[in-house]
Amino acid sequence: MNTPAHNSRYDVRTSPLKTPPRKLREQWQDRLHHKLDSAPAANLWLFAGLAMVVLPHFAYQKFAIMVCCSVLLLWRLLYDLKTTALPPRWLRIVLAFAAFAGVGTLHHTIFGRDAGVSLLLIMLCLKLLEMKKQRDFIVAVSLGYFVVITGFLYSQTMLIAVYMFGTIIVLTTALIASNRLASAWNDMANVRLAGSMLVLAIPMAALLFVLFPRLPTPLWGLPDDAFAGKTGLSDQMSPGQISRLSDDDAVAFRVQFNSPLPRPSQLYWRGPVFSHFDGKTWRHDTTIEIPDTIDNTTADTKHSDSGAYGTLNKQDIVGRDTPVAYSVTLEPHNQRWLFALEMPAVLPANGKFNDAFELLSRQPVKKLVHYEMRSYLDYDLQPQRLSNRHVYLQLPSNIGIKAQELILQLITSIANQQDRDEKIVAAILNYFRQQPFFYTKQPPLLRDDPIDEFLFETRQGFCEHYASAFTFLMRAAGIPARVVTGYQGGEFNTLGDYLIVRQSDAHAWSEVWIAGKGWTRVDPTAVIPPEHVQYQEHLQRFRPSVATTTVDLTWLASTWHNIKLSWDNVNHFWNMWVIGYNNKKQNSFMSWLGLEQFGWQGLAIALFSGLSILVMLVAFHLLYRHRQSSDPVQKAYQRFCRKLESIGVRKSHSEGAAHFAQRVIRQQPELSTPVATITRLYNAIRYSDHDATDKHAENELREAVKGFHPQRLLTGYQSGKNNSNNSFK
Amino acid sequence: MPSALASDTAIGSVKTLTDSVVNQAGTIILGKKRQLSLALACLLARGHLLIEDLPGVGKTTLAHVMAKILGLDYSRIQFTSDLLPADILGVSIFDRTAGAFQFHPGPVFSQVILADEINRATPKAQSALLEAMEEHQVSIEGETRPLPKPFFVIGTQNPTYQVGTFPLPESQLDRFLMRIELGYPDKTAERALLTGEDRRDLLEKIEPCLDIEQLLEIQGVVDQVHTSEALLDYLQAILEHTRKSPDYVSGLSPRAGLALLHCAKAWALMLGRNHVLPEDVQTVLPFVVSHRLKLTTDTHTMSHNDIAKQLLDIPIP
Repeated sequence: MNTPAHNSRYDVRTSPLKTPPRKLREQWQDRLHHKLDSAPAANLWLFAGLAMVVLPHFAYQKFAIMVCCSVLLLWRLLYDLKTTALPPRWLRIVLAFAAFAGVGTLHHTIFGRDAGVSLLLIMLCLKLLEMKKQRDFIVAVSLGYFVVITGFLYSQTMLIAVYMFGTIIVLTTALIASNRLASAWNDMANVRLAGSMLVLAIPMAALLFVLFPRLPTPLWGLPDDAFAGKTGLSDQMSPGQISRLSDDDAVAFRVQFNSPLPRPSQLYWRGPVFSHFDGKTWRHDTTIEIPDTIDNTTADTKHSDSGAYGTLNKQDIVGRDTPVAYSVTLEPHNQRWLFALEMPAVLPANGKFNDAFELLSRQPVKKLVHYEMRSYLDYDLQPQRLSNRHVYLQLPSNIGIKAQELILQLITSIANQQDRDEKIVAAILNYFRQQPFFYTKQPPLLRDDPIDEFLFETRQGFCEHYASAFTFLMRAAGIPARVVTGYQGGEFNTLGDYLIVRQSDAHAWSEVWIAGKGWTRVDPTAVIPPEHVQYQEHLQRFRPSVATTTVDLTWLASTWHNIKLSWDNVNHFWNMWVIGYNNKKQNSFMSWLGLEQFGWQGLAIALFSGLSILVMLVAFHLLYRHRQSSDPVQKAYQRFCRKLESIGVRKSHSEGAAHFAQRVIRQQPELSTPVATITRLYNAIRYSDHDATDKHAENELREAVKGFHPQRLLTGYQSGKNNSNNSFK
Repeated sequence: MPSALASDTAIGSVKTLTDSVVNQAGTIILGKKRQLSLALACLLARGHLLIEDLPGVGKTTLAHVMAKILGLDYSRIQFTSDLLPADILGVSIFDRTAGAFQFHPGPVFSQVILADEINRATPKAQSALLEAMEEHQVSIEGETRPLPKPFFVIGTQNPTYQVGTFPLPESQLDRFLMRIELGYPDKTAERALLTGEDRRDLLEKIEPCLDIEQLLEIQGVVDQVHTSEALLDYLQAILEHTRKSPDYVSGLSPRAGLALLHCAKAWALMLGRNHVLPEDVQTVLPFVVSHRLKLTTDTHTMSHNDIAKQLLDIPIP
């Protein structure tokens, strides 16, 4: 088309009248140095986004740091609302140095997870105080994108991921808003655009997540202080330590059974073992070096179907049934214990045993770990010999005098009988059962002599009181004994077919060594009669059971319970497939795709072909968006255009049919007759006062398009069929 | 619903007439056929024309030629900073012999008015004319007087950055159906201009090609030019684009949409068609919308080029 504006001469001559079109680069430069208005919507969106970035860190960072960040953010907000001015340059410099000094003082370093994140947060907020130009705005948004990820250093739950997604949407909205000056675009439109941009990015992100090559060990690990604040069982046990956990609903680990679910009373998840008692606290015996005696090297492949984990020395653990198979997904707890049903038949990869048969990881568990296990439920542990016998008979002096008298009476009454040890155990358990012992979450405080006071005065206690007192009594009777802590029972999630073990399932019990049988588990808490239990909800603690339901739960409570189970199921899935998606899972996914033999090259191939497919999908959508039409006239005309495309003439989507025909004829005069006819028919049907019920013209158009063979016409063949005039306009 | 007027023969004769008008005018204003056609289309669509250009490129001549060829009476108002509304509209003067006030109509009571350098006058004087343009009547001293038919205003405007101008506000720019630029003539046209007869003499000799009845009739035919659903889809796509795009301060108004439609109809008719094609819309588009749109990135209203680039890229459905 040839508007006057396109007349070249006209254009050149009149250009002094207009501002000459600026180069794109200049426009961009201009844009970057463009001063920000003091309170456009974009600034408020940025404020919201950065506030969302900072907010989760209130749970993790030092309070003083968070106060600083809040003050800085508010300062900017007040400036945007035109109440204050921004600080002068010298003050900004002072503030920046003060931030370094402050973080250094609080953390004694400026490196590491906590100090690093603190510094990042403060610097991000400080940046807002010098945000005056578009360029600064872009820097602030980019920093926000970066700093939001630091949340993952503290928590990797799904909720945090969703929250971050929201944060990213708000930040992107800020970016969009800053690039739009038109009033026609309201905030909702910006949010929608940001949201749809992010949604469109999800397939790409998912592809990269699944296929980006993963190393068996990460290039860099989490900082040492990651997960420092996690609660769980500790490396010592004193009265009150486990009852403290009884209110903690956090998940300790989840278990998926590959064989039938054991009876609830068999679900003892063995954890830390304590042998040294100082009268108040049970600890590891520090006098004996705990050697890493048993290792993968003593592997016995009898019950092991892969070399990844070995079995144990047969003389120490004698299994008397087929082991149950299960897999454990353990939440990070910053200690080295790996929890397993007693008694492990195999060692997980990266696991080892010590002298007390604690299953330990080689490194503290700082991230979610997943391991396959087999355990004997019926077993003999060290039945033949007991090394370090004295360790398990150690007693603190000066306490438990009355308890020792009690034992003395007992021993004399059953002296020299057969199975003396077993009889003593039974007698003590009987004592607990028959005397008025109570099980309570809030036992009275024990002062000087925890053993005697508990056994003869208060007689109210939580599992650790019973385990501690029982072990003391056994040792007094000359039976080697120790305290074992761990978890008991769990909740079976029928939705996902797995067992949830929570911190509130923490438990303590005893093991006594009986000649010929070895170490035998005794749970003194379990003998307390039900009527002596003060809290119904803790029924499960002494009547070992896998709590499911629920007869007396109200409708509301059971619904709430189901929601909780569903939510846990979702979290379990998240842990298994997102957090736990590692090198191994990636490999099995690749072998499922049939690409395993290619190794990382296979990943690269899959990654690039996946990306190409995505890009192609988008490209096809863009290309054919304007082409799909159900109108037969449009269809016929599009067919005509495709035919012309085959000889290299392409219609632009904004070109009118008549102009296109003119262009075609200018390029290929041989085609003038049919092109003119088709165009005339098309325009007449589509734009003139055409009777829609009259199909004659429509058929004529279809026929004309059908008989139109541009390639043949160009090579000299004349169809002679289309001889109509070319009087289109 | 094809009427008798819109029949093929009538359309054909309209084309012959308009072609002859453009050709005749082209003998005086050399090398500006496109602008002449647009000016005629604007007149046929019952709109007013704004010409924005430097002095001396032939704006006045164009206005004069149009009036003469169409057989319309013509007057010129030179807008200056001290122009008063009465200078445009007319004034009542006491006639001693009649013993009463007698109204002396101002230059506005003509069929073609050249409002020269309209942006040099104060807003008060500007509004006097612009009111007449919108209402096709003027109210003077409590009496409403109709303006002649047809009523066609050609405003000329100097580029707004020149000294001593009062730029027309958007609302008043909107009253002009089209805005065109004349530009310098090309080399051959300029040579012909320099060697040929004086334009003023030629202007005197020119014969009208149309009479008023014919003009009014053609204006009636323009209304009957057919616009199909597909075409209206395209037009609406353009309007919607300007409203949704972040590039413009505000989108095109419904009035702008109607203006675009009328101009496209007139243009189609001048090409001898009884229906509008997307190409017609594309042809008139830059001249109809450029003075109604403002870029967000630029404080000046858009040049025809910018419009052409952005709006002509909208897909035709």
